[in-house]
Amino acid sequence: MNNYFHILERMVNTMKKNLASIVINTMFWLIQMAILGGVIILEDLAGKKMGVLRHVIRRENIYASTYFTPGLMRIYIGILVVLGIFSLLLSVYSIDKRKNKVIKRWSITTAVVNLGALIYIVYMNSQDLKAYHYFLIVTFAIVGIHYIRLLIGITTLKNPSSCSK
Amino acid sequence: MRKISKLMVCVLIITSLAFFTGCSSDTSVDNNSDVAIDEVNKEEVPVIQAITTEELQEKLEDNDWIVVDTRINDAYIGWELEGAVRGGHIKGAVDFSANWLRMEVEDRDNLLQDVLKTKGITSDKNVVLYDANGEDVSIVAEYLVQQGIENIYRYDVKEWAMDEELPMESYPNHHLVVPASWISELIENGNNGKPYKIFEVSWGDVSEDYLNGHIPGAVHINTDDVEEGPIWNRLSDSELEEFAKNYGITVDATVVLYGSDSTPAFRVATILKYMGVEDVRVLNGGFVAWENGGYETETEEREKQPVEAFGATVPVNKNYIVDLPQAKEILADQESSKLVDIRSWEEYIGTTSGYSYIEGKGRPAGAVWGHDLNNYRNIDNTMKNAAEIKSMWNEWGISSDQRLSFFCGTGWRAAEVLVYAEVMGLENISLFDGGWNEWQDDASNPIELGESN
Repeated sequence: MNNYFHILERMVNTMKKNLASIVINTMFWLIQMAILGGVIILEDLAGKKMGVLRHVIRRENIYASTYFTPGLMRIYIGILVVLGIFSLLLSVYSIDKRKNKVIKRWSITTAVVNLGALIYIVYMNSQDLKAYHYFLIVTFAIVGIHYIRLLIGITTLKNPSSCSK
Repeated sequence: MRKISKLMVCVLIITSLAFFTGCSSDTSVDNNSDVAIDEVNKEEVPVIQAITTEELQEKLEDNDWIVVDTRINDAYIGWELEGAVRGGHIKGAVDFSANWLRMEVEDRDNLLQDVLKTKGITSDKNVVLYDANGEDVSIVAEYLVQQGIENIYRYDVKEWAMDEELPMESYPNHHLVVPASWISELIENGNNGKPYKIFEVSWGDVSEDYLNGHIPGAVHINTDDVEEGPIWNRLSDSELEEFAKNYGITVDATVVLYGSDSTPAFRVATILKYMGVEDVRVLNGGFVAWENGGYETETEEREKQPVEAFGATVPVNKNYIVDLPQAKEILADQESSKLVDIRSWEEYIGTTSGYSYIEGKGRPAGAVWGHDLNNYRNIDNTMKNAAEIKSMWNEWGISSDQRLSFFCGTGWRAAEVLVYAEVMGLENISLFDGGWNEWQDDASNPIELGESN
C-alpha cells in the first residue's frame, strides 16, 4: 500500500514538472511568435500606410547609421559564428555523451536558429525588406532568447530524467 | 354562332370599360400625389422676390445688403459655366455654394454657421442670392431661412454677365484648378488633338479608390515616384525626367491631376510645373466633384504609356521649388520676403511635430504662420475665397507683393497653397521642398518654439 502511494506521489510530481515545462515552453514560443508577428505586421503596414512606411524608413536610416553600421554588422556576424560553433559543439557533445534530453533538444534548436540568423544576415539586405533593421533586431532577440534558455537549461537541468520537453 | 358573337361583343365592352375606368382612377391618384408634392415643396422652398439688375447695382454699395454667389466654386473663381457668357463673380459678392449644403461632412452645421458669420451673411442684412441654373438659389435660400435669415432676394447672374459694362471678378490663373465639366469636355473633344494625360494621384500602389472607379483614361501615379525619403524631397532632376518619360508626360501635354484627397495631386502638380510642363491642371474639389457631377467612371486599370523624350531639360522653372539655402535667404530678408508655414498651429508653436517620423518640434526661426491647409479649403474641398485667404495672411504680415515661399512638413500641404496663390495671381512664390522635416534634421538650423512675437 505504501509502495503504491509512493508511486502515485512520483507520478503527480512528474506531471507537475511536465506542466511547468509545458507552460514555460509555450510562453517561450509565444514571446518569439509575438515579436516576429509584430515585425511582420509592421512590414505589411509599411506597404499599405504612408505614415508607417515613412516612420519605418526614418528609423531604418537611424539604425543603419547607429546600431547597424557595416563595422558593427561584421562584429555581430562574428559573434553569431562563434555562438553557432559553440551551440553545434554542444549539440554534438550532448548527443555523444547521452546528456539530458532537454539540453540536447535545446542545443540543437539553438544551433538551427543561430544558423538561420546567420543566413538571414548574410543573404538579406535593406533592399529586400522595408523593415529590414526591425527584422534584424527581432532576429537577434530570438537568438538571444534561445541562448538564455539553453543557459538556464545547462545550469538547472542536471538530472537527465527531470524534464522530458 | 350569333350567341358567341354577342358574347364576344359584351366581353369586349366590359373589358374596355374596366380598362378606361382603371386608367382614369390611376391618373387621379397621380394628380393627387403631384399636388401633394407641390404643396410640400411650397412649404419647404421659401418665396423669394426677384431683384432687377439696376436694383442690384444700387445695393452693391449698401452695407445693409450682401450679394451671395450660390454656384459651384469653379464659377465663382472664373469659369464660364451654366450658360453665363462671362466667368467669375459679381464684384463684391461673397460665395456660399449650394454644393456645400450637399456635402456630408462631420460637424457640417457648425462649420456652415461659421462660414455664414465669416462672410457676413447675417439676419440683419438683405441677402441677394444669385445663380445661373435657377436651382442653387432655392437650396441656399431654404437653408438661410432655417438660420433665421428672412430678407432674401434672387437674381440670375446670366443677365449680369451679358452686360460687359458690369464688373465681374475672376482669379487671374483660375485655369489651374478645373471643374469636372471641363475634364469631361477635354475627354469628349480629345483636347482638340493636342496631347493630354489624366492622372489619379495617391500614395502607394493602385488603390481601392482607383479600382472602385476613376475618371475614364486616368492612370495612377504613386507619389513615391516623384519623391524619396528620409527627407521626402523631390527626386533629382534626371530622375524626374525619367519619371515623366515613364508616365508619357511631355512638356507640351495638358496634364490633369486629381485624387480622392487632392493634396497629393497638388504635390505632383507643383513638381511638374517645376519640371516645365506648360499646362498642369488639378480638379477643384477632388474626385468627389467628378462623382457629384454625375460623370462616367471606369474601373479598368490603365497602363502608363511611356514616351521617348520629355521635351525639355529639367528644371524649366527652377525657382518654383526652393531648397534649404534659398529658404535661409528668404528668412534673412524679412522685409520683402516671408517663409510661410502651412502647418497646424500646434505644429507651428511646437507642441507637436505632426509626424511620427519627424522628431523635432517647432518652426524655422523667423517663419510666419500661414494657417493650416484646412483654412484654404471650402467645405467641399474646393479653393477658398481669395479675399479670405489674403485676410488670413494680413494678420501675419504676409502680402501679395512679397517673395513668398510656402512650406509644411514634407511639401504636400504647402504645394496646394502654392497653387492657390498662383491662382490668385501671385508671381514671386515658391515651395520650400524640404520644409520642416529638412530644417529640423540639421541641429545647426535655428528653431523657434511658442507663440511668435
